[in-house]
Amino acid sequence: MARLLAATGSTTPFATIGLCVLGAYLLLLMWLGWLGYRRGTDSEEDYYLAGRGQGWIVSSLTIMATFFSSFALLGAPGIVYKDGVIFALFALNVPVGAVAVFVLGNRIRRIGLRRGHVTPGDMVSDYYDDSSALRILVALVGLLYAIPYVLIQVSAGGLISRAMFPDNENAFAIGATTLAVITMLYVMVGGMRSVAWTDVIQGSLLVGGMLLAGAAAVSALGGVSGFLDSIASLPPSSLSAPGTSGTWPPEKMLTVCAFASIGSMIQPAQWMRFYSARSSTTLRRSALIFGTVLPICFLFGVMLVGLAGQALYPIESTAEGIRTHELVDPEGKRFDLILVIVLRNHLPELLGVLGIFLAALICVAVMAASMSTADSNLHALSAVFTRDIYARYIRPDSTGRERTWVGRAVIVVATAAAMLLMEIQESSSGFKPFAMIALMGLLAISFSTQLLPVTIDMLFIRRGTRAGAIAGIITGLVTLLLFTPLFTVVFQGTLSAPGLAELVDRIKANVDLGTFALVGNVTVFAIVSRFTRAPQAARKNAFAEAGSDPRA
Amino acid sequence: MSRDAATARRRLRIVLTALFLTALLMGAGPGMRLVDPGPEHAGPTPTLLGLPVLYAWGLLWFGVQAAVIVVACTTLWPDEES
Repeated sequence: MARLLAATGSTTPFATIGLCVLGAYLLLLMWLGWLGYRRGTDSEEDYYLAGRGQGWIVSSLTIMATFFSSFALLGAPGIVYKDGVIFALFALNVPVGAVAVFVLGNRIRRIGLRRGHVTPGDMVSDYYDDSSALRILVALVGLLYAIPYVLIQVSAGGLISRAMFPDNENAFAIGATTLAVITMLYVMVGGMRSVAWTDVIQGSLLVGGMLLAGAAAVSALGGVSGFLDSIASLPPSSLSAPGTSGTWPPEKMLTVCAFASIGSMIQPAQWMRFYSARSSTTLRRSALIFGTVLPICFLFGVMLVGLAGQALYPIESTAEGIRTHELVDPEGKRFDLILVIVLRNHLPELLGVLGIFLAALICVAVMAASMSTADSNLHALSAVFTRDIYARYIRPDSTGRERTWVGRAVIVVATAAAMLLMEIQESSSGFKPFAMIALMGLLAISFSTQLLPVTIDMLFIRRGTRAGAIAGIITGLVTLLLFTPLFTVVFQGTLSAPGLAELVDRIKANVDLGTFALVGNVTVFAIVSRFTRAPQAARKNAFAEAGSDPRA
Repeated sequence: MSRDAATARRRLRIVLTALFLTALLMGAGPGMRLVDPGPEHAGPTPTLLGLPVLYAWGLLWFGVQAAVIVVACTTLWPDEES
């Protein structure tokens, strides 16, 4: 043990206690992964959907844990620390997600059950006349969502590790690798059942961690009255729209809140959770918990950390932009670190050994948030590849058992790819597309939001066509790609043309990118659908009947 | 379900939808301009129950959203299960 502590650079009580709590947590996850494997079978439906039998406690916690990633525990307080009160209002997007859990999720569950769907691509291509092009496009949207999301979770593991073990110069790499490898192992071994069970632990941890972090932030400023006094004396730009950096005018905040959580709810991992739910009651209760408990965790928990951070470690406005306090990040860039810094520096001071334990526990909660999202996305990625690509185009005659094993191999490859990309980013000085967790998370969500028009059409309206759906999704994706960091790097010269650069900046400043792309997507979908052939009437009727069948 | 019950249900759905959208527009959208002191505000920042007014405003509208979800969960959505 002493050697292990020395190897991790655990020279402080915080690092030592942190290592013990983290070790216990990781062992628990491995045990749950093994248990999931023992209970499961090698059938696809069991590996990917846990036999469609999840009850409401597991469903609500797994939906919640998949939704809340390092974005919630590091990214959101990081933006509140940077921009002030305005970003706390982002919590109002969560009830929108709750409505989507029941209104969209229940229909997806019913139709999926009746027609044997496993992935989002199964349902979309089934409705639009078995369209291969749509299946591939939906798989592509899934990849565009899952890859950056897995990557930012792995990166968050590194950040937390660096903050817990500051004396170890390899802490980032060790933390990121540990998170990635353990997540990969239990997803690979136990499939959806292990993912959901570990999500129960992780979901409980992150709810507790968010509230505890808020309480810690208030305590760090001397209790409720000290906290309120300190907040009231922040600069006016931190207490009003559009925030310190001017990034959040109300119109942009509205579009982000209206569509960000819906986009998150129709990404492949959540979509498959709707298939896994046992009944309508399961999803109704999940929606209730999601829409009431989670915003409280945001508004009375983790968002307060960002505000306390502004009071404890004032940000600096320079000619190059806004910088963190030097005690948060000597380079002035990592606003995401504020939660860990507040906890590590103030909780032990207030509560002694108990404070150290609680700070370590919240750091583990951040790890849990990252792992619960990474595991769901890796699992969904494997389902999307095996069902939508491998079984369709590579080996149509493959057995379910073979596909399950291919899915496991996909999880290994995806994990390795995420770690490689992260290594490239860490070692490169210029290419930093995933530099800020929350902003990259919002971009990933924007990709999955492009599935909203076909989802609404398929579940409720049934007026769109296959050609319209394809054209709409392509329009949405191309529009979004114009705004990715990768595009900016590749087409730097082109963007320096004054008209285009100005237009891109103006759009970015006032509207959520996903919503902007969605407008183009819906317009093209509607126009092309007007002039092309509708899906077969029998299929439309079958979807209408299955979606509203109360017996399902 | 009788015609009266169906009408009442439809009305409730419309009212809840309108309330939910209003809460979103007021709490996280342009409605916040009604209370936003703005970055150029001079003098003490307006507060409500000690909280910055923009934060308190967000809490108020979250309360409305949560109430709509609770009502929908207990009245509208169970009907879709039977």
